[in-house]
Parts: sequence; C-alpha cells; structure tokens
Amino acid sequence: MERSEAEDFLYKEARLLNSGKNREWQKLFTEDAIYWVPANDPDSDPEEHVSYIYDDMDLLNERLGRLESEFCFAQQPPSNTLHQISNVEVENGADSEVTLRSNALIFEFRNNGQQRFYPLQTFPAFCEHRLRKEGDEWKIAYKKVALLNCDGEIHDLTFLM
Amino acid sequence: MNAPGKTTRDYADLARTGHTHVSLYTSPEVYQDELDRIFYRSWVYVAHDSEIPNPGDYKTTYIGEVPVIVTRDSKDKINVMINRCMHRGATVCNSESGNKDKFVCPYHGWEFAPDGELLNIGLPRGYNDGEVNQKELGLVHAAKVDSYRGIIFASLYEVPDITLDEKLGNIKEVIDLYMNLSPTGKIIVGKSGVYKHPYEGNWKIQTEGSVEGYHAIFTHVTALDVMQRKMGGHLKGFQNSGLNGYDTGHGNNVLEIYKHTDEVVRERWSKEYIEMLCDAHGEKAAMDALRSRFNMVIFPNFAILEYQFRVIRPISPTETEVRLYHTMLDGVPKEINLRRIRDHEFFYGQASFGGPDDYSIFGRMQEGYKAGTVPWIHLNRGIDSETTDEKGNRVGDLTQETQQRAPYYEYRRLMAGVE
Repeated sequence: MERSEAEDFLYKEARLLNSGKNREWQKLFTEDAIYWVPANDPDSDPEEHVSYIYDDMDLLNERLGRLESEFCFAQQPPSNTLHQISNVEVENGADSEVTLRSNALIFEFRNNGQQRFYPLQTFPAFCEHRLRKEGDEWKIAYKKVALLNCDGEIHDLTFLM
Repeated sequence: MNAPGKTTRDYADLARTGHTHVSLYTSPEVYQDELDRIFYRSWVYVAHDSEIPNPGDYKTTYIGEVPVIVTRDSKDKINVMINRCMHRGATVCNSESGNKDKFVCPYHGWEFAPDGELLNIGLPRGYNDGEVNQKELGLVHAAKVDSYRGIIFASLYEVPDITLDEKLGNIKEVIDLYMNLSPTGKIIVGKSGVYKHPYEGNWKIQTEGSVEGYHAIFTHVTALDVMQRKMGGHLKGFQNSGLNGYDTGHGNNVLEIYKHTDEVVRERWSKEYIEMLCDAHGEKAAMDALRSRFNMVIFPNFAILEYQFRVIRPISPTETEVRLYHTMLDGVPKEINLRRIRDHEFFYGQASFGGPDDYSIFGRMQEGYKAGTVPWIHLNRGIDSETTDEKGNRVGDLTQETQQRAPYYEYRRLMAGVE
C-alpha cells in the first residue's frame, strides 16, 4: 500500500467518525477485529491489564447501540469530534495485510448543555491500524488508539476514537 | 472527640439523619472543617500491602490535600510520611511509585531514608553547631498507622480516639469475604490498572454513590440491558428482594448486590476454581465468598466494589478525584483474573457502559446544589422501616438509603462531637 492510499483510508475513517456515521464506521472493521484503547500503559498486555476499551465486534456493536439509545447519560449532550490525522507510516506485510501508524489529534466538544463553558477537549493519540484485504476492500482487523494521556486524569471517553 | 478550631456551624443540624444540608457539598468553610476534623484526624485509607511488597518500595498519595509517601522500610515496617522536605518544604519524591533507598530533595540535597530518618544534608559545613538537629528533622510521620488484611489506614495529625479494629468493626467480615476469593487470601491492587477519574462535584457524592442501591435501573439502563442479554444467568437475583443495605458503624456501610444460591455459583464459576477455594478456606467460607457481591464504603475515602479498590480524594468543595485500582486475585487460574479485567472494563472506566453515566450525574447534582434556597438533600428513603440486626448493624432494603445515611452518624461524631 502506498502512503497516499493509507491516508485516503484513514481520512475516510475520520470523516465517518466526525460526521457521526457510526454504523458506516463499524462496517470498516472485520468481523474478528479488536478496537483497543489502552489505559495507563500503551504497551500493556490487555489480558493482564485493564483498558479503557477492549472491544470485540460484538461489544463494539453494543457500544454503538448504547450511544444511539436515549439512556447514555454521559453523552447528554452528545460529543462532536474532529479527528485530525497526520504522521502516516505504512508497513507492508504479506499481500493481504498492512500496518498503518499515524498520529491523531482528537478534538471533542459538546454543544448546549445546561452547564456552560464546556471545555474543548484535546486527546492526542498514537494510532495503529492493522488492515486486511477482504475481497478488494481493505478492512480494519485491529485498531489501537494509545492516548498521550492514557495514564492521566481523564473525565470521560464515551465518544468514539 | 473535641473538634479542633472554632465554627459557627451546627454540624449536628446540617448533617441530620436522613437529610443533609446543601452547604455540606458547597461551602469552602465546611470543606476545610472536613479536612481538619475527618481527613486529618481519623482513619483514612492510604494503600494496600501489595502496592509496596518489597523493602524500599514506595507510593505517593494524598491524605486530604496533604501529599504523603507510603514506604516499606528495610525492617519491613510500613511508614506513612508527609512528602515535604524539612528544610524548605519541597516534596522529596515526585513519582507515583517505585523503589528507592533514599529520598533526596533536589533543592539542597537533604537525604531521607525510607523510614524518614534524615541521613544527610547538603553542604553541612555551612551550618554552625546547634543550627540544625538532624535527629529532629526526619520526615513527619502520620500519628497512627495500622492495617487489616493488607489494607493500610493512617491518621495524619492525631491518634484517633478509636482503634482501627474498632473503626472497622463488623465490616471486617465483608473484607474477609473479598479476600477469600483468592485461595491464598491475597489480592494484588492496582498492578493491573488504575482509572484516574476526576469529577466536578463534592467528595461525599462519591462516598454516597458507591453504595447507591436505588439508581441502577434508571441510570444504568444501557449497561443492565447488555448484562442481561450477554451474561443472563449471572444476574439472577439482581435487584431481588432479600438484598439489603447495612450501616456497620463508624460511617462504614455495605450494599448487597447479589447473594447467589449454590446452584448459580456452580453455573458461574468453574469446578476447578470452586474446589480450589473450598480446599483453601473450607466449603462454607468458599461458597459464601463466591455467592456474595457487595459494594462497601469505609468512611471517608475508601470503597471496595467487585473488582476494585476505590479511593476518593477531595480536591476542593466542588472537585474530587476518584482512583479505581483494579484488583487481581493471587493464586487463581488465569481466566478468573481475565474475567475480572473484562468485567471491570465493561462497567467502570471512562469509556465503559456504567461509570461515565454516574459521573455525569454527579456533575449535574453539584450544579443543582447551587440553588442554596433549596437546602436539603433527601436520604430518608426507608428510614421508618429500618431495623437493627443481631450484630448491631442498621439494616434496610437495598434500594433504601440505610447505607448512605451511615456516614453521617460518624460525620456528626467527628465534626460536632455528637455521638
């Protein structure tokens, strides 16, 4: 995969997240994919250490259902996000697999709550995508979002990253 | 107990049984009195043995707003000391945890041993005889430190008027149930992760909220929905009648979340694990540990929930940091601890299906508290049907508020000297 193609892929993913098209974003993943946001240590073993998110596609589906429901009180009002992608590197593996490394600046904001002055949040993150070719489409088999402040005090991460 | 300092506030009237005054959650003066009379002069959680297993191990934490170091010294003794150089006041240690044979202040090179002794001072010849007494300038220790089942408590400025054994009372048997989930009776705290969770609200909202038996079916609709569908049988008994909240004395309290039958225990856990615990503790103690799920609060700053030690740190009248230390069981098959990891993630972290909804509501409560003309918080649910059991615990149904009223008896005792 060329870098330009990798960038196109990541920009498209960001566009879906930024425009709230969560179910189209979900379709980018393979059925056996993992969506991982580590806590405390980006190099932790998710079987020995708790994560913020360690979703298989079943749990990711539940997560999206929760966000769509009227009972996700942590998302009232809901987050809007801007995912800005840079520093894209491509590591080509076998024919049908490729690893992308990128930096993401995730801005998060919530409009029009009762409480004014919601601070614009910034979450810089090191991202790793492992893509696999299914048919003639690249799919995400693994997405890791290692927040720069993954060991810091964080109020809320109930939006998609 | 004599309350230090003068106050014009009548805390016995502001912290009534069943109603708390909104100023307890908003006033800077009340907050300062709470630090002085509760956080600095009674038993406060600081650490667990497993966080500092070896000589030289330390962790830094807070008692109220005061930074402290908890160390294990070369004689295997636990020390809780104010993290403040005796010379000019800088903290002598600036990391969360580690192992050191001495703490060196970076300002003028004063060196302190893990037991607090002042070992060396920088450029000593500049002091004339009598200007500095090294023996008197060790780090300042907490007035009293004690532990139960590896859970370390300290009282910072004064020896408390009750022993730790008296403070814990009936809640010790609930701690025993928790530890008995390990065949060795030991747990490992925090090594498998810590969620560091600030919220925009008074610290007592979390103390009360850690044993909230009334809110779950309203606040946690999405989490309970997934749990019912994905974990079905494991929730048998959840919210059934027969589950209680307890006030076990001295502000401590317990909320029962479920008490499984032997049949459900055997559905839920592998034969191997059940047998392991039966061999270690005897069948009754093992099955009692396996069937029980509870949330418990040890007033003021500590709670144990299913997979976590929860530590509540006041930052200001309206800001609090909560740390959720994940706990792993010593000596169990890997899949048992793996399940503790996945289940904890599901409900408790900042991206989970449960906790974030609670914390958003805590912020909304604090916002509502700005209405000082609506002064009373209601915690009186079930007060008229509350009973006392044979052990002396106050008891109510789990959705009633016995367990949330419990802290305010101790609050009145420490804040107003009222028994």
